[in-house]
Amino acid sequence: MKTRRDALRVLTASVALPILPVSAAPPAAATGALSPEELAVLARLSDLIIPRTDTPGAADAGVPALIDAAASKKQALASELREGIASLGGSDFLKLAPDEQTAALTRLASTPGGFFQTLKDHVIDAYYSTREGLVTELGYQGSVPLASFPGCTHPEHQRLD
Amino acid sequence: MKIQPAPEIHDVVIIGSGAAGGMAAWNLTRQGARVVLLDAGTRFNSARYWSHVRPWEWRQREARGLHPPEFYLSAKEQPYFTPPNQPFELIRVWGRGGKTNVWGRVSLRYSDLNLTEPARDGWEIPWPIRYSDLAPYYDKVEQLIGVNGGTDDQPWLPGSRFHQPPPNPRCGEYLIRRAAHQSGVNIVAGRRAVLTRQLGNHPPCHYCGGCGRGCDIGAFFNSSDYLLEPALLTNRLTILDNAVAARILVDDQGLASGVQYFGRADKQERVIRAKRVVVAASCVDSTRILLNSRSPRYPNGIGNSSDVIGRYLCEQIRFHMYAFLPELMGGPTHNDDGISGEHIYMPRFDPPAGAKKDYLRGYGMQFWGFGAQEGASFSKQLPGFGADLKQAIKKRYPALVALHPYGEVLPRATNRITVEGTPKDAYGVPLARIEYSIGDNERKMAEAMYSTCEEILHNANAEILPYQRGSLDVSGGAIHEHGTCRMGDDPKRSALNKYCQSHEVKNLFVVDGAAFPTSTEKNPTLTILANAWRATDYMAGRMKAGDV
Repeated sequence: MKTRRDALRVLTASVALPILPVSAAPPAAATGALSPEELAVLARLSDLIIPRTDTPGAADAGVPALIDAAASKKQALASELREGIASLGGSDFLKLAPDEQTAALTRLASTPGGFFQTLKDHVIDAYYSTREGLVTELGYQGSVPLASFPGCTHPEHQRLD
Repeated sequence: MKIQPAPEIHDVVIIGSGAAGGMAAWNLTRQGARVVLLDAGTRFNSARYWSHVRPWEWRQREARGLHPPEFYLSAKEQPYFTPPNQPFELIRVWGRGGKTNVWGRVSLRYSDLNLTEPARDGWEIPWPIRYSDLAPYYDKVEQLIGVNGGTDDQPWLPGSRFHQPPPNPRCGEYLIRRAAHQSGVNIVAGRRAVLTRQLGNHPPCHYCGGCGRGCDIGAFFNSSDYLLEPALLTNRLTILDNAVAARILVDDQGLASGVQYFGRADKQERVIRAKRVVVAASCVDSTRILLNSRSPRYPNGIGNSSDVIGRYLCEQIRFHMYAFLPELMGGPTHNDDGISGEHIYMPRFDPPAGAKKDYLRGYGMQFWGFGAQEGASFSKQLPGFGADLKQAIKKRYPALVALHPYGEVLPRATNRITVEGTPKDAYGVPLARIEYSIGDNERKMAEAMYSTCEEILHNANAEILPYQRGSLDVSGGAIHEHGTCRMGDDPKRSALNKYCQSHEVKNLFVVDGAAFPTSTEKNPTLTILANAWRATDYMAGRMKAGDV
């Protein structure tokens, strides 16, 4: 039994997080919780987590404003963001060279949980709920009426042995 | 003194409009009874459902001040209480059709093996009915509401005669079927009350995947469109909206004589008189109403001299494992919506002969959430950040699979709903307290459930997201509450006879999931419908004979 379990390829991270139900879309944009300076740092951090590649990055997709809106409805999140941004030097973070910024975030990520995971969770939830993240990046085609549903069309997937 | 006219006495009053109440209303009105149904909310307007609204559109709408339909009852409006460190998640829908507006639609017949299991293993009372009692009603329900599925019956999953054609599985579902097969575990076509063909005036599914937000075209069974609307056409059904039932009233003979209820909007107390009362408010609320129906004749709640009402609450244990299949990683993104939810099912199976089984009862498995989703929450658990993370997410997005086993929880007298000493709701009626915990049997079963999931995913060479072996969802999460007003042959150990008729109060029937002596590993709605039809057939017969 144990050897079978040990043989499983398991990713290295800590606790399983539940996958959000379909209806749990982030809240609507509202008056923000963060200052313009904090928001500028949040934008840079968001882009470090999901950068622009051949598809839009987090800032392109409006992620900072979505997180700011969430923080305006949740005091604990607003505090954690403010403290986390301050711990990175506030606006001074933006004066660092890109590789220094990456190094700072790598150091932050080496601490399990905490500000890095909060930031990452919110960037991921927000980015992949935008048209840019969901459709442009991931190719999502759903939530539209179809005349029929083809399902799997690959014989190699359908064999039993 | 002004003389009041005698109040009208109806043939039947039904409390609740979900699967059980809707079926009771439909079946009794078509047999000639004049019925009044109390619904704690109002009819939902399907033309205003946000069935196809994508996340960014959702935000745009909310920014314009629009709101999606509010299906779920707020615990602020109607609280319930649990002991410290014993959380129970209670999901309620007050409004016409109840939870069937947003239900999971999984429609699995109970096997005779399920119904005879308590008699075989000796844990608590046996079911007073067998599969042969339910089978003709399963047949009729499936034809009435439309259930799609295969022809691949299993010992623990009988009765595929009347299925509409099942939808083709998604890529990942075929691959998981193969992986399970390698361990001798059968995966069958899912069985779901989603129309894949036109049924009467109900159109077939258009595969938008938005079932959980309410179906704008009514392509899956909901009690309002499929049962209450036809019942209203008989002109023998009256539905009272926003009528929150509080207590069942009794007359000098100890029979039920009507229901005290409150207007949800105006908070005014009202009374409706009837010759028979059918309780179908879903397990917890039905039980609360029965326990609050105290009188000198029934100091422990109506029909509860046995003290079994409120006890034996049983739900299901459940957890989730997520993984990525190598064959699908880096592949194209498909539209994986289908009929929403899985197109396959793992029925309960017996361990191979000679294999160790150190727990009673068993589990089945569902597989919703394969492939492309409206989000990528799984990626929070992938390591790192930056372009590498973004690429890792995109690579895994089409390859996501999700295993959701459901295991039976044994009925126990200490798992119970009470109303003594609890705070009162806005109408002055005591609220429910839910004391519920699982035991060693469930923890052992969970070990077996984890082993099965691991084995299937191992066979599939899947990359598994981190999980904690043994962890379970918060109790109540399966939304399959049972047992607190159970049927049985022995009046000392059960509240209802085999026809869901109170042993003590012959004109009182309880026809929802509260009547089930066990929770089984299956989703109960199909059986609630079949059993409510069966019970109200009996009731209509007794009414015609003049003895109820």
